[in-house]
Amino acid sequence: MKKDILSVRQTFSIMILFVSSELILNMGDSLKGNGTWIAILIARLITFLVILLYSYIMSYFPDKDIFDVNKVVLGNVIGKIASILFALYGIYVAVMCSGNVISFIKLVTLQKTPIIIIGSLFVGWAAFSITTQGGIEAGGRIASTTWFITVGIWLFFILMLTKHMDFDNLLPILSEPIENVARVSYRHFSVIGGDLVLFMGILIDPSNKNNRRKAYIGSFFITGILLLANNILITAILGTYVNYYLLYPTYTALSLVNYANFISRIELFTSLLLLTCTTAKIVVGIYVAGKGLSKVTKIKSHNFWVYFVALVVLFLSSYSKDRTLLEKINRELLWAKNIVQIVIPLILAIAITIKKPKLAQSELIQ
Amino acid sequence: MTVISKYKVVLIIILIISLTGCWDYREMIEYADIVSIAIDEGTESRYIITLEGKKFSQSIDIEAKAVIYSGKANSVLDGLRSAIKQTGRVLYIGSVRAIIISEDIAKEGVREVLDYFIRSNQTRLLSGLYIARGTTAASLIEDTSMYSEFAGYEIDEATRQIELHGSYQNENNLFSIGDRLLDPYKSPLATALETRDLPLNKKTFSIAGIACFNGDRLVGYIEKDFIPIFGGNGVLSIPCDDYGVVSLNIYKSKSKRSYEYKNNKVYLNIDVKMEISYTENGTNKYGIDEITKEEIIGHVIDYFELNIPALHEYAKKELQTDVLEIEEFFRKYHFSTWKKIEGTYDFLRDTQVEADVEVIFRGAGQFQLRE
Repeated sequence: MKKDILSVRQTFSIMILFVSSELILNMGDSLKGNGTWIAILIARLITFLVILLYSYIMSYFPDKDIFDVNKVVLGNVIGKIASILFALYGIYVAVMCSGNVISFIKLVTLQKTPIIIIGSLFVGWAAFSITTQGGIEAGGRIASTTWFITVGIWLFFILMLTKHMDFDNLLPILSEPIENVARVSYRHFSVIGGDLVLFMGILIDPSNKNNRRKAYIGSFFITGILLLANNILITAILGTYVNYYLLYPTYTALSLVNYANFISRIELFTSLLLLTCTTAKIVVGIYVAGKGLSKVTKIKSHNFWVYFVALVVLFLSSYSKDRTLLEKINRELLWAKNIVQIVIPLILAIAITIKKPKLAQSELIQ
Repeated sequence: MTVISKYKVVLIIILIISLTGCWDYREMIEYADIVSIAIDEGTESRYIITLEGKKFSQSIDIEAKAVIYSGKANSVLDGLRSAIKQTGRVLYIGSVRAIIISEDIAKEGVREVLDYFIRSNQTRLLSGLYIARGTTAASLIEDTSMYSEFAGYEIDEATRQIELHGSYQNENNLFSIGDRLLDPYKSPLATALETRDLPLNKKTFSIAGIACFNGDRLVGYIEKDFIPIFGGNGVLSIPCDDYGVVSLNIYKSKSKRSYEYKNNKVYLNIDVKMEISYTENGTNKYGIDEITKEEIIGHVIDYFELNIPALHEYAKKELQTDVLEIEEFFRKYHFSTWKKIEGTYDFLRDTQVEADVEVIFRGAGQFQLRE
C-alpha cells in the first residue's frame, strides 16, 4: 500500500528542497542594477500572504487534497475544471524544472549525451520514486534527512568565498526604477513562491488542521533567508552585472572556490545540490498532476497517470533543441500561472468563507 | 510480474545505462590540456594564438612537459582550434591559469577576445588576465619559466604572491574583469608583464605595472612605484632626506573614502591607516640607529600624502581614466547627489583629492629602534 500522507517535518523538508532548486537554476529574474534583494524581499512578502491563503483553505479540509476541495466547494463541473488546471500546472512546473536541469547539464557537462537520456534520468527517477511502495512519503523521509546537508554544503562553500566578497558591490542599495523592482518581484513570486500552491495537492498529517500552515511558514522563513543570502552574497562575489548576465550565477560563483589549491573544482557538489533540489520539485509536479488526473478522469490508477505524466514531461522538456524556448514560454505565461497560484485559491477562500455555515453541517469538515 | 513492475525493470535498466554518461567520456591523454594562452595581433590573419599545453609521457609516473602550439585565425576559438589541430587531440581550456593579450590588441579593445573565455563553460573565471607590455604575448610563455615546468603556472603564482601584499587581489581574475567590463562606472585593470633578459641567453617575465582600461581599451599603465599606493599594501622605498632611501614593508593598510560636495565641487578625502616596519637594517646610507621612528613615520606620511593626489593627477593627465573610481564610489555612497549631477559634473577632472595618513610603526625585527 502506497503511503501518501506526509508528516509536517517531511512536508517542510520537501518545501525547502523545492524552493532551494532556485538557488542554482535562478529561474527568477534579477535587476540590471542594484536592488535585486529588495525585489526578492517584496516577493517573499507576497509569498507569505499567499501561503496564509493556502493554509486558510486547507485548514477546513485537513484530510483532503485540493482536488477534493475543488469538488466540495466549487461543485462537480467547475471543481473539475479547477482540478484539471491544477493538474496541468503540476505538469507545467515539472516540465520547466526538468527542462532547466537538462539545459544546465547539457551546457556545463554532458554535451554529447542525448538529452532524452539526461531527461529520463530525472523524470524517470521521479516517477519511479512516486510509484514505489513507500510512495511520496519515502521521498519525504529522504528529504527530511537531506535538506540540511544540502543547505550546509551550500553554506560551507559560500563561506569559502569570503575573500572574493566585496559588499560595496551592493551599493547603491537601489539604483533601478521602482517599476523594474516590481517586475522582478512579480516574476520572483510567480516562478518561486507561487509554485508552493502545488503542496495543496499533497495530503499532510490531518491530526491537526494547522499542520499545513506550520510546514508552510517554517519552510518560508528558511527558504526566505536562503534566497536573500544567496542573492546578496553572490552579488558581493561576482558584482551586479556579471550576476545579471550569467545564466547560473550561483554555480559560477561556487566554481571560484579554491582553498590553497586543495579544495577546488567543487562543481560536482554544486551539481549534486541542484540534482537533489530539482528532483524534489519534479517529484512534486508529477505527483500532483498524476493525482489530479486520477481524480478527474475515469482511470483511477494514480501510478498509470504518474507514468503518463512523466512521459509527457519528458517529451515536452526535451523535444526542442532551443534550450531558451522554455525560458521564453515561462516569461510569456506568468499571467497563466497566476490563475492557479492566486485566482483559484482566492475564489476557493471566498467561497469557503461564504459557505462556512453550510459546510459546517456537512461531514467534510472534521 | 505485474505490468507496473515490468515498467520499473525497464526504467531501472534505462537509468543504469544513462548513469555511465558514456557519450562524453574521454581519457585524460586525449585532451590538449592548456595552461596559458597568448594572443597577439597577426599580419595575414587577425590573431596569432600561442598556447602552452601539457604533453604527457607514456611512462607510469605520468610526467607532463610544456609544449607550445601556435595558430593563426580571425577569431579566438578558430585560433585555439587551429593551434591544436596538429595534435589530433581535443582542446581543454579548463586548466588555463593565464590569458595574455598583446598591447596592440588591448589598445583596440579586449571585449571581443574575452567574450569567448567568459562565455565558455570550460573556462574557469579564476584565470588571470595579463597584458604583454613592450613585447609580444607569445614571448612571455616561451621558455620563461624558472622554477616550474610551465610558464602559465609561474605567472599565476608570481602575481598572486605579489597580490598577497596588495588589495589588488581580486582585480586580475576574469570574473572581476568581466564585471568591470560590463559595469559602465568601473574601469578594468590587469597585471602588465614584460620580458627580462637573464645571463646565458635566457629570459623570464617580470611584472611591469598595472594595465588600465577605459571601457575595454588599454589607455596606459599605473607604474610599479604607484602600486602600493593604489593597492594599499606592498614593499616601498621612501626617500628620507639626508639618510638616503629606506625600504619599508607595509603589513596592513586600510583606507576609507569620504566625500564632500560643496560649491558644485566634489572633495575626496582618503583616510589611510597603515602599519609598517623595516625590510632592511636601516637606510641605504646609515644603520638603524641613525634614524628615529618619528622621522620614519613623518617621511611615510609625507610620501603618501603627496603621492595619493599625484596618482590622481597622473590618472587625469596620462591615463585620462578614473582609475581611482571617484565617480563609482560617489555613486555608491551619495546616490541622490550623484543623480543630480550625473552627466554634468566631470568627476575625474573637477574632483579635488586629498589624503590623511596615519602610520603605526610595528617594529624592526630583531633590531632595537632609537627613540
